Amino acid sequence: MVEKTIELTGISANSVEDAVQLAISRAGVTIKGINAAHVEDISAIIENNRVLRWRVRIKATFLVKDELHE
Amino acid sequence: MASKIVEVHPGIYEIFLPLPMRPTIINVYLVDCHGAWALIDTGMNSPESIGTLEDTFRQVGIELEDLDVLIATHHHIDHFGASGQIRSRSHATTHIHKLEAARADRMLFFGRMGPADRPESRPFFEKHGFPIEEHSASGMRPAWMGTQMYFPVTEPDRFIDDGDVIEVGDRKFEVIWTPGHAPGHNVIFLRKEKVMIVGDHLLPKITPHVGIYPDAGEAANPLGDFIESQKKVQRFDAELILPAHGGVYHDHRHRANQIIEHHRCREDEMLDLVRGKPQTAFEVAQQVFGGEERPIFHVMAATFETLAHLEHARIEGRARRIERDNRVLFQTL
Ligand SMILES: [Zn+2]
Repeated sequence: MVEKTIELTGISANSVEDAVQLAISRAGVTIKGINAAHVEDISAIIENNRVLRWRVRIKATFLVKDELHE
Repeated sequence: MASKIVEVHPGIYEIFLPLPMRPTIINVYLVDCHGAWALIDTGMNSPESIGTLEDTFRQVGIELEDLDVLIATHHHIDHFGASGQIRSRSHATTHIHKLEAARADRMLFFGRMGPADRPESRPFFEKHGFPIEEHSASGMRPAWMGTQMYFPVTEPDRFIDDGDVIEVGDRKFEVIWTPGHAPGHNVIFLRKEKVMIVGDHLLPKITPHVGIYPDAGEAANPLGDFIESQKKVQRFDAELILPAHGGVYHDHRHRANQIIEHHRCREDEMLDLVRGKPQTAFEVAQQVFGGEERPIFHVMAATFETLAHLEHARIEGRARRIERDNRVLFQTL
């Protein structure tokens, strides 16, 4: 088996979890079978002393499958 | 020079016509009905496009004047812009949905006036946060507007609607009404051949614009319509999918699922932004589609597409609409 890993950055106005979920959902539209995400880096964008956005850089892994061509 | 016509199924020809904007090509489809010829969509009424139609028709042994039937998926310039010219030369029986004929007529009536030029639509721009006073109205309409490039048939020979079957020679063209990108958009289905001509509804690489415009009316939910229309085409068995932009492909059910998912993800992104802080469609669009320097025409389209998303979320109970100081704000529920 071979797995492939891609790097994504999710951005949420609400939480780190939401940032991860948004990135995974968007990638999942075209990539099937993402089975793990490793959080590489978390940063917050600040404006007027408040957190405006959570930026979470992740590495998402999925199994490379051969597709049968009918 | 690459060929501008390809036989994609016995007797069904894909013709590539040039557009002066992106996407730069529209595919129209010429069908040999054995004793008659039908064309689905027309391209724009530019000399280059009409010239390409004439050349490619000759490659299958006919003249533009020999066309018998014209069917349009919707009224947009790249699909229906040359219909007036083609019908006047060929007398082809012209078919389009009633809602689309009305829109073609309206476009001609307004001529060079884009949505931002009409005083009655300014409050609509303002309440959705669009800074209309900062932009000239002329920047908000496409260059072709009010020119000869849009020469549509305004009184079609036949209005088509969901379930109609247009018989031409030995072919049967079934009409599947697919509102969303345009309210009277239709997909044309050849059941026996398992061929589906999808217009802009199911493009292989891009998703068509779905927006709420000033004249849409309060009950408008074009994105909800669009998603329902994606589910609707999945109920038909097709093996060859012929889109108006991009290459032909095979699995329309898979692509429809992707498009539905794509819109769900985009809605999630928008709802994430308005969870804590209510915002206007314009503000959300600036964040989701990017606020960098772009033609104001695109900013307008992004705003109205965002509005379609937020209204869809509101109608389905995921967001609420707050009216404050003549502004419409949305907030996640
Ligand atoms: Zn269109």
